[in-house]
Amino acid sequence: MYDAIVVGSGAAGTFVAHGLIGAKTLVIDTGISFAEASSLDGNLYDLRKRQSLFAETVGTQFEALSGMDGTELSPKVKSPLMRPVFARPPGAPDVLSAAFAPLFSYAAGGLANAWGAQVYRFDDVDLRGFPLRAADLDPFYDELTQHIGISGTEDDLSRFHGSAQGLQPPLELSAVGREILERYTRRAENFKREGIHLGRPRLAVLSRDHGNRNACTYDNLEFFRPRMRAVFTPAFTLEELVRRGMIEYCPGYLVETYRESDDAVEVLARPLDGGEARTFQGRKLILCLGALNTARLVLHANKDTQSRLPLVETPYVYAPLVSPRRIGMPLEKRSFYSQLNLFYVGPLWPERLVGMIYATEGLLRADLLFKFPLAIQGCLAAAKYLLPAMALFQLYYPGEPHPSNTLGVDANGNLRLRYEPPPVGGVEKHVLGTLRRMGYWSSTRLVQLSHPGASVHYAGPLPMRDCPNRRYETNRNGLLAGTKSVYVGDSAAFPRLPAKNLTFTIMANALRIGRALRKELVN
Amino acid sequence: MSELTSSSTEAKSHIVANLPAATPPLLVDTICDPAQYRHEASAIHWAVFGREVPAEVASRYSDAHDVALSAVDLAQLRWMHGILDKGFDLESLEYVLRTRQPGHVLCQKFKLLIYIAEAYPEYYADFVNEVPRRTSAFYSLAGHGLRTLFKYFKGWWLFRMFL
Repeated sequence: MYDAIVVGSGAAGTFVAHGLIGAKTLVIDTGISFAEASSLDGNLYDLRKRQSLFAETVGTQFEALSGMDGTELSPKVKSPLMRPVFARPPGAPDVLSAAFAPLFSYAAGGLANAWGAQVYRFDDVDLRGFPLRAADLDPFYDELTQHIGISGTEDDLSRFHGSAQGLQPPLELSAVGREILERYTRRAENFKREGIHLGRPRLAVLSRDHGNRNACTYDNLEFFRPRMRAVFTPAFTLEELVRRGMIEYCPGYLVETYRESDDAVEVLARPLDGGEARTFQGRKLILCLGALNTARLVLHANKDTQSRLPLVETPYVYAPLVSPRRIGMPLEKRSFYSQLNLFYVGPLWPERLVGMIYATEGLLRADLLFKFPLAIQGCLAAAKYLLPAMALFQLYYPGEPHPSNTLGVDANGNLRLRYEPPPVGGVEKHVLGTLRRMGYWSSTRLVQLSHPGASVHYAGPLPMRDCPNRRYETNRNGLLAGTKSVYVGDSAAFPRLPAKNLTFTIMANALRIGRALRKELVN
Repeated sequence: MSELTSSSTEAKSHIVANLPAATPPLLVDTICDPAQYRHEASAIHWAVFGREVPAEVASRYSDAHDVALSAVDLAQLRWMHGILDKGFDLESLEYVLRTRQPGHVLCQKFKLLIYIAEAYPEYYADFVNEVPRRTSAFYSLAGHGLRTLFKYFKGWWLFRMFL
């Protein structure tokens, strides 16, 4: 019997397992693996100039062309070499929803294989509704900062980002980022009075070598090359834990259900190759399959097809920005796509909003070309001359539970999601107006709202409470109400979401839960 | 005034009636012979890049249909083959369709070819500018703005007169 069985190996599963070091831990995972792309060694544009990148950018199965019917897919989701991150193994549950299109990962390392690597600490404002204070998470954020290698700096955003201790220097900015930041800095006090705070993002991307991982080379390959060593993914930690014999890793299994007895939990898992199902026994079970799949498994294990649990997402809007001064300037070959971070705190929205400004160099031109209101040869000219002058702006809103947004399962364990997009907007006009004064033009007519499910920031179904008194609530250490040894280690236990990206907090909270469980198990 | 309004509305509905149906009445697998794909690739390539399509790109274009356009509206496909046979200005027609019916098969096929072309080094200079060209960029974009207007009206005229 294992001390602990962790199901899932994403941001939560990996760091629960890390926190459990010292206990006899098994990680069960579908664990779809994929090769690192050695054919993409070098700069995207140097490579494009001298060789065909058909297999890497379009794909031998024409992966980049999927979604041509008009469905907007993120460039990373379409990217051929990233495909295993989002691949659906045989036997995986279906999603029954016309309104919400979630993304899942069954890969070792989970969705964070393709994350934006933005790192945010939740402070007490962000933790409103959680039974936690920032002080509960800070030691784990600090530990992760050392472990991961995070780049960033002390600037106007420090009040939102928290401690800058242990950070690597920030990444180099491209011309777009430099220009906006310079103009902001000149009149920062004015902008701040208007609620706009701009600065460098904290990124899980190395600006200096860190352990066996090399610093960022600014090759514009973020959308095409999985597991770039400069960009942290939990898969690196998972590999290390396995290599050092600190956990037992069992990939290739899809967990079907679990059963709790007085002193143990039994987990029933079916191999992906169609063989005989296996049963694993542990003293504790920690579910880390991602918010939606964790909730699905809990409902399915309870054979509950009636309950409807809360479904929370952080919606976002996005818009292009253009600097007239940079039209016709040469393309910058060396760049990393995350450039600047923006916070809005003001009267237009009751809570702080979080924005990012991205460079566009790493995108395929074909992804943007048809958005220009020109005949096709004009679109080509626009892609060539306008893109070096362009940036993309994205603004996240917080996510709250709402009675119309729910998650349930059917008798076969498939997910049933109901979702009505919450009303967001109204701040963009102000933010875009401010960015125009920094030299970057856009229009509210170009602002688009994300499709429900597109943010990949999900939470809410098994909320943590100080005193959980309802079925399907958890305590602050993730223990599911009504159970003795079933824990939730991922964002299924987050009762709501602030506008900040949640991945770093998933890691910190998972590490916290893992440590608390280890203490209990060892004692 | 009312006469003017009435006639312009009539004209508009006449033009719109000439567009292939917005709602696909019949979806079919695009089982098409390689020569037809080659013909399509060549015509679209001329419309976008103004030169003959390389054999490898044409071959990829043909293969891509199994994945990216495995089912399309039969009426739209027939209509598209008709305009290819008549040698009409594809760029004009694509632009008008993109503004009114972005899911039309002709727009999809333009996208398909451009995605494939971008992966090849022969097209690098079509997509990427490596030297400062501020003046020529402004002239080029302004020229394309005017050209787009011309193409738009030409496209409507083609729809109205011949299609």
